[in-house]
Amino acid sequence: MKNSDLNKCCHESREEIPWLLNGTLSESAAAAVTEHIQHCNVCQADFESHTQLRDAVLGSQVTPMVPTPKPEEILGIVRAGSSSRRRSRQLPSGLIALAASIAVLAVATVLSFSFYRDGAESNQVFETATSEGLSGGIDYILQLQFEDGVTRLEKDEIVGQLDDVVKWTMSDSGNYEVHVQLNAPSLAVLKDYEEDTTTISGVHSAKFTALQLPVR
Amino acid sequence: MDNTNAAELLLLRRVAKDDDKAFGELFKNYYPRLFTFLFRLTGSHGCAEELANDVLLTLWETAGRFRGESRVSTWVFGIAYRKALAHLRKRKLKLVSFGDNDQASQAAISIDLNSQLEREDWVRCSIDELPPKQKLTVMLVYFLGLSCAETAIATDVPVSTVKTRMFHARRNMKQYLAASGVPRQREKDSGNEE
Repeated sequence: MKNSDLNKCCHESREEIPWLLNGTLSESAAAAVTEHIQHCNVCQADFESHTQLRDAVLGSQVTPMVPTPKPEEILGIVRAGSSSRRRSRQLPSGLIALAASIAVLAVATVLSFSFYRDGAESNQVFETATSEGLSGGIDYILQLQFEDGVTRLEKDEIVGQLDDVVKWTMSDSGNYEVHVQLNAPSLAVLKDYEEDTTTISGVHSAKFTALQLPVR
Repeated sequence: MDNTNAAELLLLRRVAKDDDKAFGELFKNYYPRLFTFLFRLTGSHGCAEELANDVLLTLWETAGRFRGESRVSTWVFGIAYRKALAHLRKRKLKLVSFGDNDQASQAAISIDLNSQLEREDWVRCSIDELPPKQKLTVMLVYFLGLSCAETAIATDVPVSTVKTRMFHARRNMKQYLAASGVPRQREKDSGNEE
């Protein structure tokens, strides 16, 4: 196989390796990936890494003793708390909206206070959230700083793996302002989001600095 | 549609009409897999039991909302994924090595790497250190054997995100092993960094 051919399908093949290993690729795709791996050292190494990962997942020496609860026990829980659970699906939408509004208002107030405290970091205008914001969620602005040497492609890849991202923009310094649309998150959820993001390789820091109501 | 999924779909329709027997059938089909999956994620018998019950409770409560756009199993494991993710975030569990308890896992980190643990144990530790979404994706793919499309549906993200998570999981595993001083297994691994 020519080098150019190898390069062309290298990326695709590397992406498919996990599913080659778990046996869910179609026969033709599996054959193509296998063929590629045989001629490509980089993909061979990836294949071996993924094989280790799979073996570690499957090769646990300890098989837990699976408890044997009866389905009736689960249904007992449902019925003890009872039909109220099922009815809860039909709670008046006004009540749900009211509860959600209160939650959003509380979060927005706390966030506004904390942003005000760190006000020098941002010139964002803070607005009070209203129930109108619930329909499409609210954009929370995540300031993402990358480590030196992270390429534009890698940055986009990193943002691509974050959840609930609606858009992002790049600043002159090469850092990103990411709009994450969340619906009435608690402060703990925002903090977890920041922490999860910071653990991604290549990310230097991640911090929510503002929230923005959808433009109507 | 394969026979298993067709049969499960019928059961789910009956569950939506409050049929206890149908729920019992689905319960028997899924409980052991769900429990083992959740046990390996959390390392805790109690948490796994609680979460597995919670997943099946949600199945009972929301069966009527299943629109048949995916396999029933993908839908069920999607519920498990969301419950597990919420649990991991809420409790900020330090995920443990498969088969270890919390203390043992923590202790294992500090002992001499090369002499005490086999490479596979270190790979397991590296999985435990992955961000929750990456770890859950790895488990869905390698433990439950979901296809790329099924994983995307279960985790409610695009296929490209699933691939990226697997890519980063593998890369993070390698970085963890390198940082822990675990010797490379094969010579050709060395030329492979992105």
